[in-house]
Amino acid sequence: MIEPVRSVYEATLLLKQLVQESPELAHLTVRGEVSNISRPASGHLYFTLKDERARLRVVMFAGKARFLRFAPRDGMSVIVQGAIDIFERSGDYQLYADAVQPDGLGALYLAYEQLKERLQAEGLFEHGRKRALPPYPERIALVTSGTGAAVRDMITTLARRYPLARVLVVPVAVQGEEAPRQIAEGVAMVSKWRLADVMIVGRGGGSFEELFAFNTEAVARAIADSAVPVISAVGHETDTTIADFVADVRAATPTAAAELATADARDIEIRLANAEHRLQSAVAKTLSQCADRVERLLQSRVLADPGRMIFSLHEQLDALERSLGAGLRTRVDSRVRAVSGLELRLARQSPAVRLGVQQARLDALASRQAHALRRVLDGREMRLAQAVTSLELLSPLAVMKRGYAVVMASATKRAVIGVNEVQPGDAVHVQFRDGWLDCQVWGVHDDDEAES
Amino acid sequence: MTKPNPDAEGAELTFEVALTQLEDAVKKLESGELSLDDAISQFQTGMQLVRLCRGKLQAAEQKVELVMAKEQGVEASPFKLEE
Repeated sequence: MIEPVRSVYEATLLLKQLVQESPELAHLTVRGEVSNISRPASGHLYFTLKDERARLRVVMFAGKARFLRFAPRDGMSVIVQGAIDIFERSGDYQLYADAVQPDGLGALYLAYEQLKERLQAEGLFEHGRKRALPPYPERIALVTSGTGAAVRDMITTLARRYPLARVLVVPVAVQGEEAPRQIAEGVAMVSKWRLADVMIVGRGGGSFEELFAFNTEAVARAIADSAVPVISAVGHETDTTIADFVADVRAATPTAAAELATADARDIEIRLANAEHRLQSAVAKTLSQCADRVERLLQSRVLADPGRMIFSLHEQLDALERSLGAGLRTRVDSRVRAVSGLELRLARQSPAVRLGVQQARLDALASRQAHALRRVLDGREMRLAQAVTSLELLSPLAVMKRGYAVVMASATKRAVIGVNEVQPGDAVHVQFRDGWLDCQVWGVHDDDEAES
Repeated sequence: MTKPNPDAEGAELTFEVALTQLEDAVKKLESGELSLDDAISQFQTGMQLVRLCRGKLQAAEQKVELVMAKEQGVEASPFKLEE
């Protein structure tokens, strides 16, 4: 099988593709020593990064090179971050740099970043932890180098602004091996014995390495644990160390720290003058108010003419008396009226009157009753007479008067009305107007017989 | 002198306390509710405080000491600024 034959360009493209697809080569951080560095007018930066066994071409285009914070020089150990790519024309592979840092610094930066993150996570930088500085400290401690500009500037600034405060210098190494321990111990000492009301921890300007003592954990913890509020004043405005993050207040420079720690005597003098003025005007006002009140009281009539008071009291007395009397009379009258009213009502209710009334009613009833009775009696008499007359008409005696007699069965004394009520042999009693007969029945004939 | 707290000057009023008392006196007086006698006494206290604070300020003369740790406590000694 014939192997495909490629042009140089095609082969290089194959390699280029392979390199561009690898993620490690896209983001690479390389440490090495700078050699034959060149920086043409274009502003681009070319150098070779080497170590004992290999070398690597590095190019940093002007756009990025402008941000370098230091000037790389041959022999310097640096750390380069960038991407590897193939430059077809020369057949070279190169590291296209995004950032270059001094290696010595690199390690320190790394340590700085890591410690910062750790302490931040612990909450040591929390704003809530920051304490307010005492406005008028009596003692100020300076944890800094016992010699040099920093301590001198602070002392003179304090002397000018607030000589009242006693200054305590706690001399410590501010750079080098011993610095972290000494600074931490100095801070701890001031805190433990409460040597001051406020403490300034710091130093004058210096390189990142020279300031690094203030980026150590020992110093950071000492400041965080301090019972006395801490002002950090490390280096210049642009330098921010971990001590600055942990401290209660960060000052740009030692002198600024001295100003933050104290009020200015001149301002205090102004406040005193102001207070004095306000005292005087306030008391003057109170005095004049009192005077006015006294004045007004003097003019009031009562003091001028006491007699008038007594006179008006008399008047009040009479008035009271009159109203008292009037009050009494009206009460009595109303009582009398009430009584007579009651009497009248009582009289109307007296039994004599009612008796008379009842009597009259009684008489009326009696006479009506008599009338009614008489009427009833007459009526009854009339009816009686009628009954008597009709009785007489009907009475058998009247019939007897005309010669009739009543036949009664002796046994029953009942009138015999029909012949069939008796049998021959029965005893009968015949009653006449003037007496009776005892008879016996001989024969019983009813009307039929007679006809036959 | 190895006293840990090198400056305790007895019960004398501290500058800060004096200032706050002065402000209280001024506020009370300006409130206008004080009787005549109280107003006058507040005024006198206030003026004394002003004189006290002003005196402290003018008389003040910075003291600087060097503080070193010792086994038991702390040692303070005069601090000389090298010119």
